[in-house]
Amino acid sequence: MSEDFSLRDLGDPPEASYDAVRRRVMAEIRREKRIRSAMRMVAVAAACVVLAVAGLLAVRREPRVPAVPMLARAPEPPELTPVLHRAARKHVRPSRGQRERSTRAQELVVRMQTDDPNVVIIWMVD
Amino acid sequence: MGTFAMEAPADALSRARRGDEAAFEELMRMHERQVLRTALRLLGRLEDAEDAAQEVFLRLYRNLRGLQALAEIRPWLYRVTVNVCYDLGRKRRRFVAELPDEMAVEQSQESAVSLDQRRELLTRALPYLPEKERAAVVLREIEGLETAEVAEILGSTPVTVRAQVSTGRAKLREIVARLERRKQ
Repeated sequence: MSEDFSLRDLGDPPEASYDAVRRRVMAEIRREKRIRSAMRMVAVAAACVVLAVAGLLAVRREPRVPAVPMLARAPEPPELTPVLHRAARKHVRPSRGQRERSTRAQELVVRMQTDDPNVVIIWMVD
Repeated sequence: MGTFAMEAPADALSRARRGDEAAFEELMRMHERQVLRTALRLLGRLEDAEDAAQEVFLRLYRNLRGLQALAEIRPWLYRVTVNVCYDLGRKRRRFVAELPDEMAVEQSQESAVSLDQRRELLTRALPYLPEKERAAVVLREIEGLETAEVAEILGSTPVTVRAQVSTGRAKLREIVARLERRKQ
């Protein structure tokens, strides 16, 4: 091999090749950008759908809203009416005569006491 | 004026990083010769070199955020160009593993070949070199990088690069001689 062996003598690629490469690269970059923006839009739309579905499901699963509790009035204490308690009478078996008399008389007397101790209603039933 | 000349490319990098297509095209114009020429020397075919250069610039576009200064682009591009050419060469099996058979070539007297013919022979001979030697020869002898730079790009040492360049040149001479004889 002679001494004129020089690799730097190798020529450059034609100018058209540089233009071709540049064009192809820019076209690919634009295509990638379009794909990326489309994918971003799809992702946003998908996220919106997911959120909407999740919201709907959450609303359906929510327990029914309980009725607004009414403020119930506390029941008024019952009016206290004085009740007169009679002392329990000792039950005495009536004598035979008495029993005969009672069957004969068949008379019922109801005494009703009023608030006024001086007024007593007597109800006699035949 | 000088300041502007220094700042404009750096500005192109930051604008390209922000997605400015015109700025990226500007960056491409600044480095396209380096990339396409290296790819052509490594692959030997213009169509393959264009494909490789396209891939290299697309990788640059996708990695702009990783590059902080304009000075980082040049060695980065060399490194990526070499790797892309290795991949493409293996994929397309265009690298020729065997030397042209000397015995099959009819020996004839050496005759002077024109400069154009010599260029063509060298271009044809380069793909016969093994990958590493070819990359070392192309970066050191054709691109004119420093041995240390070549070593850094190839992930090697300067000593290894020197040896690869020396061996590569010797092999290249032999291959060119055989191709010359075959041609005659």
